[in-house]
Order: sequence, then C-alpha cells, then structure tokens
Amino acid sequence: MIALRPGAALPPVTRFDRDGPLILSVHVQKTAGSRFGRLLRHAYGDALGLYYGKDDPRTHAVLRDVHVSALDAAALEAVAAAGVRVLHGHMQTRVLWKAVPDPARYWVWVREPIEHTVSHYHFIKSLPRETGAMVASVHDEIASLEAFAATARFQNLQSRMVPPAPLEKLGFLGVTELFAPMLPLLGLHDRAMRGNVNAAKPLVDIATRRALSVLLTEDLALYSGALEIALRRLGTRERRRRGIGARIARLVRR
Amino acid sequence: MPDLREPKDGLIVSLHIPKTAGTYFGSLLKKVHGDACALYYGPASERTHPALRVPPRELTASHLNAAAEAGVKIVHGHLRARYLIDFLPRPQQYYVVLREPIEHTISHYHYQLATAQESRLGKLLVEKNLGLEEFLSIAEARNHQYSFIKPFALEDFGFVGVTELIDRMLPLVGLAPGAARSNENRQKPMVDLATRQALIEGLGTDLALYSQAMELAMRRLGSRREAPAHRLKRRVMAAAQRLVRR
Repeated sequence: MIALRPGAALPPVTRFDRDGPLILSVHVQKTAGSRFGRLLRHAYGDALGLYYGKDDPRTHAVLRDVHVSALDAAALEAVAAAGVRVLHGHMQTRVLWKAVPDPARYWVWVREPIEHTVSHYHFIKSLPRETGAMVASVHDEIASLEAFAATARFQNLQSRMVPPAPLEKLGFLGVTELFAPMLPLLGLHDRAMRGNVNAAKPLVDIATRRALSVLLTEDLALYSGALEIALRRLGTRERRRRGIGARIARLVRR
Repeated sequence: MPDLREPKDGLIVSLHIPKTAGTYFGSLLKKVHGDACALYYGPASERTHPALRVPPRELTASHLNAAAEAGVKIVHGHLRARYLIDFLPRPQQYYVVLREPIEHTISHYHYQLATAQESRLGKLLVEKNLGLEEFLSIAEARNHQYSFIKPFALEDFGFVGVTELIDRMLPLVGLAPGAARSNENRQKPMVDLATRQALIEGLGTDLALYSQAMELAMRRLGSRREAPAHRLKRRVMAAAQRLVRR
C-alpha cells in the first residue's frame, strides 16, 4: 500500500475547487465528522451537500430518496449538477468506489482506533433504543465493550471507510487528534463549533485497551500510516531543525 | 518508607524513551532550566551529570541526593522507572513522552541499524541480518516503551506527553516549542500497511498505553471539550427528558 522512499515527496492534498469534480468526504462515526461538516458548511455554503441517509432532513434534497447502497454515478452526478462540490456524510466507501475509483477525490478522517471504538460504543449506548434498529440491537445484544469491538459491523470500521488505494494518494487523510493543525492543509481553520462529543465517556483501563488492540489490527495499522503521513505533510519534524545550530549541523553533515 | 525530607524527593525525573522526541524535549528542558536540568545517558556519556555517572541499575538515593544538592531539579535521560522506584516511589515525580508504537518500532529499528556499532542491539541486528518484522523477535524490542514506565500506571505520572502532539503539550510543563536539538532519522522509509499490521502482535501493551496517553492528552489539552452552546443544549434536553419521565 504505502512504500515511499526516504525523502520522497507526498502527492498534494486535493483542495476544494468550485470548478472541480465532486469531492467525497466520508464521515466515519466518532472522528469529529460533525464538527468538520459544520466547518465545511461555513466555508463553502451551498457548495457543500450532506448525506446522512435517505430519511434524514440534513441530507441534500437531490439525494433524499436515495438509499446509502444506491449512491451510484447517476446520484453523484445529480448532486454535482445541483452545484455541490463536496458531499459529506455517512456514506459507504465500497459503494462510492464503484462510481468514483479515484482516491484523490476522497477526504477521510481517522482516529486512534482503541479510543475510537470506546467512543463509538458509549455513543451508541447513550442513544435511546428507539433511535433505530442498529441502536436497539446494540442495546439488546451487546453486553460489553469487547463484544462490541468483536462485532463484524463495528470491528475495524475505519479501514472499511478508507478507499482501497495507497494512503498517500487520498485527496485528504486527516487524523482527528491533529484536527486543528491539519485543517489549513485544506485551506480551512478551526472555529468554536459544536461536535457531538460524548462527555460521559469513561477513561478505559490498560487491560481493556490491550484486549481491544487484538481486535483492531487493521485500524491500528491504518492509523499508524495515517499519522506518519500527517506528520510528514505538516512538517512537524522540520520545524524542530530550523535553528541556526541545526542549519550548521546540516551543512557539516553534507 | 522513603525519607521525604531528602533533597532527591523534590526532583522530577523525565524518562527519555529512545525515538520519542526525547532529545528535543531534553533540549527544551535545558534551555529553560539551565543547570537545574541534569542529563543522564549512561556512565560513559559526557552529557551525563557528573554526580550521576554510574550504570542505570547502580543509581541510588545518594547519587540523586548529590545531584539535588548541586542544584538539580530535573533529571532527563534514558532511565527506567523500575531502577528508581525504590528511592523515588511517587509516580507524580516522573515525566514521560510516548509515541505511536508501530512507527516508534520502525524508527527504533532504523536508528539501531544506523548506529549499529554503538549499541548491543544494533550489533545484534547486523550480525543476525534481522529485518523489521524479525526485530520484534528480540524481547527487548517488544513493548519497548512499557519497559521504561513499568510498574507505574500511566495516569499517575506527573506528565504524560505524546510525541505527535509534543509542541502543543509543552506549555503544560512550562515549555515553549522552538528550534532545538533533535536526532530524527531522515533515512527512515514509509512502511506499508501489511508490515505495520504484522508488527502489532509484539506491541499490544505499548498500543494500549499509547491509546490511553493520547486520550489523556486530548482531555488535558481540552480538545474534546464541547462547544458552550452544545453543552447548554445537551443539558436542557437531559432536563426535559427527566421531566417527561416524571
């Protein structure tokens, strides 16, 4: 997947372009996607379309009757024809990929996988059972965090939401823990906006985290790669070497 | 019980786990605290404070008392908590910075290769011609970060930093980001996802620790704090639900 040589440049991030093709911003649950969506709305106005299912009032009018499994080329063309340039929401990458097999047109945020699973579990448990069938099944059938992480629907969820392409070729691969520093890569800036933070989430012990790590190997590998790409894009390490002494040391090494 | 009146009991010990931006962190500590920050990099290193020039397992309360009496307030270096716990038993006296364990292992491996003549582990890698995935067949390389902090619980440390957020976290310990000494290995390649996944088996404890360190960092930095309007709305909704239930 990724095999960049030392010093090799990363491909550029795909930024918003009013005249460009539709960008697909896949909102993985509990990765600051709600907050990101609000920032996108503030920056792009009606050029942002949302998709949160066919019955959700937030979903763009053109897609209101389209099931998540039916987001095909025609549906995406229709929303683009309505002036949308970024479509953000809970979409399935495996469905979108059939219509748009170009990694440069995807934006995705990923989060540290163990805490992501903890957060996702407590978020669903905090919702009323009446919210929907999925929530009801978690309430009724899943008794523990470990059982939740071992459920096919939730295990390694983030890996399934990332396009099947080298990570560095994605239009944008964000890391939730670096949310504010990464926004300028897209020409955006953080603002005090609401997200759906779960304030009641407990701090989970090391033994439980270790048990979860065994179940989340794909997501842990993905996160590790995403974090390294993020640090290279942000030039975090470069900044540490900018002093005069460091410059002289570099010259001596040459 | 340790004698809490001893000079060493006011010391902070900053555990520098190799390849976690510890050289950078140590340089910033030195910049701010000057001679009150002593370094420890083994008995043979010129950087090591004169009062501490003994092998790590031979450090005693007397060595730390001597350093403290010479004006040292912070000791930063390649130290493991288990060598110090008998005479510095309070985890609140310790700082540590953790790094994402898979990339940490990749970095550690390439650093050992690049400096093979200077370390036992590096020589072993070269002699046995071990690849990255085979690196974790060496017990010392597995859960390497945990080996520095055990037996303490992470949440009890005086400061738990995260390498990837280090510049944002420095103000929590009175430091500011800046150009400073760093021993980053720029020869390190990007590693593919399959190899990263293969490394996980030897890193379960480190991954768990890092996950908790990151969550602690997020909470301390306030990154998960709710926007005020959202908090108000949530509280109003909760109160309304309670009323409906009654």
